[in-house]
Amino acid sequence: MIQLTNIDKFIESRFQRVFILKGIDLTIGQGEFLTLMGPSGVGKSTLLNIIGLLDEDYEGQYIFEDKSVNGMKEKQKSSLHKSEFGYIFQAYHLIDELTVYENIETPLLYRNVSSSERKSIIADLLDRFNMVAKKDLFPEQLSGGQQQLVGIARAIAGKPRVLLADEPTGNLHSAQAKEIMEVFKELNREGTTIIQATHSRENADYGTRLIEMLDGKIDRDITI
Amino acid sequence: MLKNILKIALRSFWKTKSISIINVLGLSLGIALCLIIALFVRNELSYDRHFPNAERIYRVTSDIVFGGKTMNMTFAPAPMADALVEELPEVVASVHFRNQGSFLIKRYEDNIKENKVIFAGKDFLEVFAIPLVQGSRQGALDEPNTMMISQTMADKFFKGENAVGQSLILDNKTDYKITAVYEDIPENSHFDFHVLLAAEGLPEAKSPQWLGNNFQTYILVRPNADQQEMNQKIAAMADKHLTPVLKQVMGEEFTLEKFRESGNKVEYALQPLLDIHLYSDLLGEFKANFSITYVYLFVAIAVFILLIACINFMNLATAKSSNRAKEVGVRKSMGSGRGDLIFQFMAETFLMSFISFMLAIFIASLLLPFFNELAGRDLSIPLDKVGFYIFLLLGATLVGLIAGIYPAVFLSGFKPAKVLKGDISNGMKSSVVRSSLVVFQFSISIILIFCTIVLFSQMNFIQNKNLGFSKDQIVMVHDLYALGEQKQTFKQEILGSPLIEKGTLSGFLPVSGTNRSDNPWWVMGRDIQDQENMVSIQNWKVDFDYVKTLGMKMVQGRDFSLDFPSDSSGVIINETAVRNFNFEGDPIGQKITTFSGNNVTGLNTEELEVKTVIGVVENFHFESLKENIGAVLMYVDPNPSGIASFKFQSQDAQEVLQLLESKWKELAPGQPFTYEFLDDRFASMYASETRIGKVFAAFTGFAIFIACMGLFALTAFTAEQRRKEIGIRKALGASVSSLVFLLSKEFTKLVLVAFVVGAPLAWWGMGKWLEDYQYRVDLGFGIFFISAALVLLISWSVMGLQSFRAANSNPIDSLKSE
Repeated sequence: MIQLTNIDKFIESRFQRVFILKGIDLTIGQGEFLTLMGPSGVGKSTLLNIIGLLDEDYEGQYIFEDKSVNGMKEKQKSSLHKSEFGYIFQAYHLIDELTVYENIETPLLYRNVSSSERKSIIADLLDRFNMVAKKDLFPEQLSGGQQQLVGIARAIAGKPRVLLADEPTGNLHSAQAKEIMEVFKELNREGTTIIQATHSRENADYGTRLIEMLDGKIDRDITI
Repeated sequence: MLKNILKIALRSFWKTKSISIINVLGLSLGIALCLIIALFVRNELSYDRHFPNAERIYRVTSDIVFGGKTMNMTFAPAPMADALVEELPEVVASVHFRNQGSFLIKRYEDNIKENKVIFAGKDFLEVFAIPLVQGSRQGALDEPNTMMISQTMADKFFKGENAVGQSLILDNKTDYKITAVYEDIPENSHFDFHVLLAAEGLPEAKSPQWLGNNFQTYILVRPNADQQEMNQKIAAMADKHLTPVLKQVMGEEFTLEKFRESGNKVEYALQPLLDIHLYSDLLGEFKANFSITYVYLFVAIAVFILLIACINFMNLATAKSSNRAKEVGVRKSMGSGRGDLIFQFMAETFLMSFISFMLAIFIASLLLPFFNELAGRDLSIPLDKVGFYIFLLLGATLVGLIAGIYPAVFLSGFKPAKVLKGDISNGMKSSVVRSSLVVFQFSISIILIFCTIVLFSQMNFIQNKNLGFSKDQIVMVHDLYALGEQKQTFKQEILGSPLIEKGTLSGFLPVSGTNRSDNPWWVMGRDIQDQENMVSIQNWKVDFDYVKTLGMKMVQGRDFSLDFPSDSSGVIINETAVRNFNFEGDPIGQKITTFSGNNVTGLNTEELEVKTVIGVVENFHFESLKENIGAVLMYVDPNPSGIASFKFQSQDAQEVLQLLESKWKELAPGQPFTYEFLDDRFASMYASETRIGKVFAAFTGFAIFIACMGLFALTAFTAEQRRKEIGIRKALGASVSSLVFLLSKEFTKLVLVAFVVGAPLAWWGMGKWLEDYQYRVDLGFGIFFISAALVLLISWSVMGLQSFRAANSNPIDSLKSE
């Protein structure tokens, strides 16, 4: 469903180009649970951002579901954001001014989901993550693990087909990390394609495919 | 969605509440001030519009140059009014007025002094169709000794009675019968008299004389009558009537062409009623008019203040962007388009704008009484008018648009990949746009400060200018005619008191609002056919003590003296008059001539009056300092009427007043005692400037205050943004003072740039304004220096406070959180 061909990303400095990504070719199929691994600064997040249409400043070809992303208009991209992608961030990035309930609700508002439907979707998610009692709290009143659960709930509320996670457990201790990864595994089992970037070998073990990156290139591509 | 947006708006407002509150208060204050100015301007523009058919009413003005003197007046000859109706088909009705100042009015015993009295022609109600409360519209002013009075007057004298048919006594002698009572003419009129006396009773109103200009003349014209065309017809008409009269005066060889060739003219033109309040500043206005320039000035101030407040709003919104950046990133990753985000941020601004407008109504209602006091108006907030709310709604939308569009575009433009990485170094390192906005704000502040300083130094200059006479410690007692034959007794008895140094009786004092008359004089023996020889000159009746009492200086010859019986035919002239007469040799002892028996009803060209110059007085200012000093001639009238002026020595003016009043009561029982200090009267000549100055200063103060609120919030925010930097610098050993410097440096630069932009503009503008004054202050470098110092001082004290607080915080607090 995702096909990247010869993706380059570089920063133009005064005398030379510094490549962050160089010649990436990658095809990801529906239902995969793919892990990007590698040391800091290798370009994992950048690649993830490009896949998630958050970064448009690159060269090369990107085809999503047989359609070229390169020539897409803002509106089409925006509708892809709405229907196909869910994002999970290392720093959670919840909106501080909104409660747990309202944070999860936000993507649904952008999708014009009706009020009653929203209620039932959010109720299900809160139930699933055991957060019913916390629905009226603000992010700062939650622990990191709980915040990330809200982040996941928000990401999957709109039932995206691809879930993008950038160091989802980077700010969490191991027990919390394990809980999050279990959730991912289950989502993958239900059919969601997951692409995560991580430093952690253990996290990678939950996945079905491992891409090791080095200096902006794909070093090894292993199926687990 | 909207609910979600509002929630975010309110919560993010609350999160940075101190700054947000400053922001909203600043905006509300700005809006409140604009609201007040809007009310004020609306009021100024509404003048005279309430008169029925206002747009079809015109006033006749005159432009006369004669004997080297130019007069632009509201006066026209007495027969003008009737002639206009007879000879111009466009004119439906006409009325003329003659102002003879205040009258003493009584019903039984006690007199009341009433200023708003005027003689009006019989067709008054046909031109000014004001509503009546009692009486008939027909023939209200047809008979001599009849009058119309306002509701207020009727209530004053006939509370609860029917006033029509009753009589009042004017100046203790004449009975006037009331024929009608009219509704009070609204405050916003140039014509707002309370008593209209029938001009039928005035002999001069019947005069066929086209040479004297004594009547303010108004006409009502047919719909769609062309002003230009009428002006041409009036010019032709005036020429037709003037030629025979001038021939009679100047001799048969006289022609209008010759008259004009020698630089003279007598021209009449129409002025629309609706232009009077804002565009007219002629001799003989019914009351001090306003000027359209000042209206523009106030509108400009309002726009400036609103811009300053909006810019505060923009700057803080963009400065706060780092807080909102994450939200923008998240929302974009969830599929929010830029349009959605712009909508969201605009909605937030609109919300703030609406809140600010509500607060503004409250603030405006608190400030309005002070404004009314300063500006001498009686404005109120029209809370009962639907239009007012529509105006507010439009205003709030406009302000929301101005203040919101830039931040919305700016914030919604964030790239999600960047901001989600936490990469927003653009939080405070000021963007070019924000810097320019701050520069703009402070340029305006500097312009306003500069103008205020110039305005006040000019006013101060006028107050302290050497006028050529002494205006201090002189008290004027008005309405001497009430004393009848006892004027001299009054003067002598007052002079007997040790409190009083000198005293004089005279018709004219060198301030506005006293009686004056102009006559042509010439050096005896010169050819009066040659217009060059005619000198138009002010003729003042004075007594022997006039020059002494007012402290004027003789430069040649001598003052009037009782020791010289011949002084009854002597005159003292001023230096301008000496120049205009162009004497051969010493002016002292020269004989000058005028027509005698020269009065408003007719010119007597047979008899000549001859006077001898006995002294020349140093030029003194007797008109506004906007004018050059004109020619003056003084001659002795042993028993002049008008005003008694006394120079007193005592520090205690109260004591002097008591003395004057008790003496007055003794000699003129039942007559109101009115007095005035000469310096107060002098100040009142500049009342409108002083008033404008004060209002201007107040608005300037507010504008700067609002700008400083913005600066305060902005520095607070910078300090907050750079907390980490400050912490690190402190940990590395930076001193508090170096940190304060670091934080203030950037804005100081901006303020200086603003000065370079604003000061020359203000200098140029004020230079123009000062050109109105023949006598004015110099715009030296001092003013530049003072205004720069003032702005820097204010902005530093605002920034310094914030910077100092930030620099003094404990470095660990800011570092550990990262």
